[in-house]
Amino acid sequence: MVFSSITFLYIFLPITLLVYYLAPIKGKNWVLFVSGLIFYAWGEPIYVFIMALSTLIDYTAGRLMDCWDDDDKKRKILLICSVAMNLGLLAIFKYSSFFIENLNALFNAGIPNPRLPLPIGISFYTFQSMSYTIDLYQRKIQVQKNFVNFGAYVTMFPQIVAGPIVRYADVAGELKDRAITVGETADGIGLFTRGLAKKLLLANNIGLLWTQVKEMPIDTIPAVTAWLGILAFTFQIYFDFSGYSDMACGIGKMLGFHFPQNFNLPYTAKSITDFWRRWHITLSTWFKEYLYIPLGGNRHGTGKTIRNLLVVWALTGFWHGASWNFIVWGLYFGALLILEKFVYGKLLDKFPAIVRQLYTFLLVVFGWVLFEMNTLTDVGEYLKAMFGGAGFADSRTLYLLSSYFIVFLICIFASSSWGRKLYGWFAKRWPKWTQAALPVSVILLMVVCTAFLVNATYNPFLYFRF
Amino acid sequence: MKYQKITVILFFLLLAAMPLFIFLLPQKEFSQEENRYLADFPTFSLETIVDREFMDGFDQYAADHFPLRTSWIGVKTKLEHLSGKKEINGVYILKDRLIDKVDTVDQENIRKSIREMNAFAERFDGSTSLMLIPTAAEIYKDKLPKGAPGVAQKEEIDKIYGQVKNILTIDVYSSLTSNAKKLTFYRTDHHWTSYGAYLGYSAASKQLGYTPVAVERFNVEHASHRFRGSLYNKTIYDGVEPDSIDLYTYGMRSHVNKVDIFDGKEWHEASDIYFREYLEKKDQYSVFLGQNQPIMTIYTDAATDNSLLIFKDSFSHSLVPFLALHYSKITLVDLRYLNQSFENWIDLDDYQQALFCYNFKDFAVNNDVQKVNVPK
Repeated sequence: MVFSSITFLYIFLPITLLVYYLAPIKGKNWVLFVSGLIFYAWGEPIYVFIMALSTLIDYTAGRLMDCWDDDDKKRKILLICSVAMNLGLLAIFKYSSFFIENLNALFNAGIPNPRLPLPIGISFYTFQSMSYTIDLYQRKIQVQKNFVNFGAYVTMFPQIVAGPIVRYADVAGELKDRAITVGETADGIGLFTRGLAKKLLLANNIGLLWTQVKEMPIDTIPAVTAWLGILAFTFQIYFDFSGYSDMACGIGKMLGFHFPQNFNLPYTAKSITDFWRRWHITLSTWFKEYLYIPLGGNRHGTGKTIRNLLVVWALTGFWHGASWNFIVWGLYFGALLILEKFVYGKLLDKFPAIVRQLYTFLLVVFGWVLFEMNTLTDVGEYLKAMFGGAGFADSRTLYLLSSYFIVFLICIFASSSWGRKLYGWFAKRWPKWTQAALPVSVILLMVVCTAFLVNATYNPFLYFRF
Repeated sequence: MKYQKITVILFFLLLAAMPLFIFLLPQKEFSQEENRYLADFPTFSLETIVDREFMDGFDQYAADHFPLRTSWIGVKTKLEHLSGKKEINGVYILKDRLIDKVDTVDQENIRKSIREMNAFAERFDGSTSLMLIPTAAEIYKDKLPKGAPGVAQKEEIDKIYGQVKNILTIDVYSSLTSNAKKLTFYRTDHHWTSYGAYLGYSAASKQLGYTPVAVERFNVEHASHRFRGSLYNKTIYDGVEPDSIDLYTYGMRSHVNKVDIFDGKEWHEASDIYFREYLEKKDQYSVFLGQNQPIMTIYTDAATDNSLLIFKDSFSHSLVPFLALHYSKITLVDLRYLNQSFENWIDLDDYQQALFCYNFKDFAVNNDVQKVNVPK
């Protein structure tokens, strides 16, 4: 199930919340566990068993680690089992086609390709589960003895299909004991509706422009159209992804959980380093905690630091999809981060903020070309088009621009920090009115979102490759 | 705190109200506004769950039976139009009319259709004609937003006309364009108006071999003034005036003796080509010969033995009132609704002429014409 559907918004969510609020404290995790399984099974009636199995294995690994508390060898074996199982699931369901295709191309091996469909959210829940066993091995957290509590953590419906990647340590306390208050719930509702609006009103609308540009033969796209197209995708992926995260965090608050923030106005970043502290924060944190630091981080000299960064970023790219262009996309950012760290970071700081912001934004936009084009040849073709390979503009450019001009303006405003500043300014002057704006904006956004949901002709789920 | 409480209460009221509306209110089966059947509640079984049929059906059911569904669609259209979008749900919104977007041509499909039509002309003893009707997007091309995507229908039609063999081709483009100032297509529907169909009828006269009756000699009855058609249904956009439906009649009485209709299972009989009960419904274009049916045969009192076989879509429905003046028998075959040979019900030897009559948009992407030669 996806959040942006009538079934979720007006059937699943009200029923689940009702049962959840009515359930006694002890039963609430049961409600989360079972509703999460239903939510997941709605889209993956078969693969839900794989998720359940992986949950069971990680739970058991945790219990056994606790059992053999003083036997480090056994604990290590258990950790390896858990990590291998999770990575194995990813290798089989997400990467097997990629590996087989490349082996076949290289060695003419002729291995039959099973082409398994990718289970939704597998990259999210395997990473979540691994955070539990790894942290437990490192004795950062306590074992979870209650299977339902652990199951509730893994299958909790807000974050299961598109993040944020909530580490077990983030919610361990709240899994046991949490408070549901009116204030937090209202906050959550505000966050949820804003997220829904980001997805339905901004991402889906501007995304339509990108689908139109993508349908054109690349060598006929004039420069302005090419820029409009990739900028449209730049906004689509941000509002879609951060919209999902906002909805997840919002529902989390309604349920009494505080999930970590996943996006923090990434397009206002003033360097690539800064961008990755603001974009999909939970993923970068995961890679930092469980890969970069274990590899040695930056503590073993420049050479090793560069190696570690490249490994981490190649894999970060690969996490986004089983295809070469994602690896290149990851390495592209790895290279930029290395350059900023060791070459021109200090110089960059001397430029005015607007220049740094533009530098970052443009590099990110070029990154999206790598991300969105399926082959490296297409990447080259598209970059050529952006630089005028097929002329400057045509009548179609004008048509697209006039059709999407206002949506673009709204997207620019919504991804800038002006909204936050404006809100702060209002809150200082007219605190009462600003408070009253919450219920009004919630109802207004819900009404408009519903209108866009009832007749949604274009409502894609972008993370099917993650 | 007060406003937080209000937020929580309002939000949950809204959330709780909708499932009640969706499941407890008596449900419509048919949406008049959108002119289509709404989804039934899906069957619940292990099988339908495993192949996700249940979930997809449930999603569709919830969306279809959402309270005030059409008003929501209207709100969406208004907001999108306000934001500068000129095309909504595949429909261009212009100041004075809606136009169906035509932006796909399946060349491979067209090639196959041409091959089958040629094969038909080869095996048919009488004469075969082809009329491809360009749609409003071509005729009112100048009114479309500048740079809007579209297909050059005239060129495509000419290309097709150049490839058919033993088939007489009928040019309706010229007379539709030169009369574009008059209403040749409905403002809110994708069909041509009766006047547009009249132009088609006169354009076909040479190939079909009759002398067309001059337009002034028809009585025009304005049967409806509040027709909102398929393009309205797709957008629920009410910024465009509703259409009139004109019925053209010749002489004092009907020339039609009866209409035999085959609905795929059995035959019915109707007394007239006008189904006036549809004027009271939403789907008013169906006043012309009712809804699409696999086979319909019209018997007239025309003083001739000529009979005509038409392979058609719904555009032909408003053409028939004119053709009925020149044929004692006209049979309409809608290949979209037949999965076996039409010759199981129709004897080709009964007809002197055959006509393929399709609007370009559907002809370019649908492969139903290719069923014309399937063996009995």
